[in-house]
Amino acid sequence: MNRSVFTVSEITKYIKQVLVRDQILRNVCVQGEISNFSQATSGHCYFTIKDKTSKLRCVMFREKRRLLRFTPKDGMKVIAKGSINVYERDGQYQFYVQELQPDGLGSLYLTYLQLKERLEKEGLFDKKIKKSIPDFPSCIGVVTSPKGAAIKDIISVIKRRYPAVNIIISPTSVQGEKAPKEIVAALKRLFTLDCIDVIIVSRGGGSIEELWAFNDEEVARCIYESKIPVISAVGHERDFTIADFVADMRAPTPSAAGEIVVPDVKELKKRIHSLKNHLTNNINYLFFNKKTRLDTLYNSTVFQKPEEILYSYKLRLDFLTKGILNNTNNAFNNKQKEFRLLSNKLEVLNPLKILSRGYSIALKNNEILKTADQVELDDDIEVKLLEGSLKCRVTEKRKEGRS
Amino acid sequence: MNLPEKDETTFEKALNELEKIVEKLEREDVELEKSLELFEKGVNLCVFCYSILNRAEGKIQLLTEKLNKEIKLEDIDFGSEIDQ
Repeated sequence: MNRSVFTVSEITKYIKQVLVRDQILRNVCVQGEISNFSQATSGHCYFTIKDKTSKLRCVMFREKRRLLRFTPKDGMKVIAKGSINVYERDGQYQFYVQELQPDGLGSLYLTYLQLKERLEKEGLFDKKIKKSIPDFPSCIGVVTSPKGAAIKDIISVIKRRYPAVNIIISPTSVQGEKAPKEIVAALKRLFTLDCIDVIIVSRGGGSIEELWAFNDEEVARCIYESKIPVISAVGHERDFTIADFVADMRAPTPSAAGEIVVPDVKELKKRIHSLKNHLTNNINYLFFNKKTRLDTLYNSTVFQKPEEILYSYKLRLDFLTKGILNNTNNAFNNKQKEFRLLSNKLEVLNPLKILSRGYSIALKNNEILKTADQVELDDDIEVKLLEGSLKCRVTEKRKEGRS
Repeated sequence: MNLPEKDETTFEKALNELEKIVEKLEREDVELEKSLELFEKGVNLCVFCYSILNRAEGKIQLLTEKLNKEIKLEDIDFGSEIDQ
């Protein structure tokens, strides 16, 4: 931007960029006193933090406000963690607060934040390395005070849900100076046992100082190094400790840890029952389906009246047999008729018939005589009559033409 | 007689074949010798299928009884021991 004149919005944008890029302003803790605190209907909070000489405008959005364990008030000394940014409309820089702590615990809280950041960078909270919690543990190790409320809650919830599990308590103090070392020792005692499927590290609700042992680096590293899955259950739902971040799973409360760590037998029984019903219903359905198919086939004409298979052949055979008989008869009748016709003709033409009417036939050397020229005088000829024949001699020839 | 071998013929295969045979015989356009052959095969398949089905039915009944009598969910012991 090598220019001499800017618009307001241009220069505001530029300032915003400068502030946003700054490493310190991006993530910073600020100590001071709250004034002008107000909460809008939207749930967002607006206030300033001031000291003797300066003021800093602050915004805390609803989602962050909800996580606060105390109600901020004017005059309260606090440490705020967040980032500086520019609100372009008003041309004002503001502190966008992510976390807010009363200053009484200031140094403690700072230690917490720093440790959290360091371990996070080191990869101790990496989601990829989280171990999965077994579905049906047979032995659960619990690191907690044997006298506290937490162990009572955990045992009663587990007993109610899944009585078959063994619970091994590895006792430790959970607050005070010695607590971190004792917690580590209690964890290590459980590491030496082969039977532990899952570990719960727990403590009931308390002030932030009372929960402090669970923000200890040694405790965090010990949980991280555990080969057995670890569930953390420290304080109430709002309390987040380093142990929660490094554990394989965070339970909001000790009772919740009991619910996470074992299944509910009643639910299991319901599931088994429903699976059982499905199992029998399905096999019965399958069976009847097949049986119906087979029954249908069995009830078909093919099996019930197998003789019907032959019907078509029988019908065809009958038809053909009749055909043959008819044809044969017809042929015979025709021949008979033909024969009769011919024999009638033959009868008409029979020469004997002529003789019976008085005619006779003259033959010479078996040749029928039709003219007088065929014979000479004194020739011997034969004359055939209806009955018998005559031997005759020609005594005279006349040429008279036909008579 | 060519009774289907139990090992190589499954119920499903036999049933499908039986279906085809019945269909063919109902269509009545097969040669007589062939239809006799088909009928014989069909009878054997039918017997085979029913024998498998009857065995299955028996087994299902047996197993269902076992399921209902031997496994009573109320009686399943999930234990109650707690070691401290």
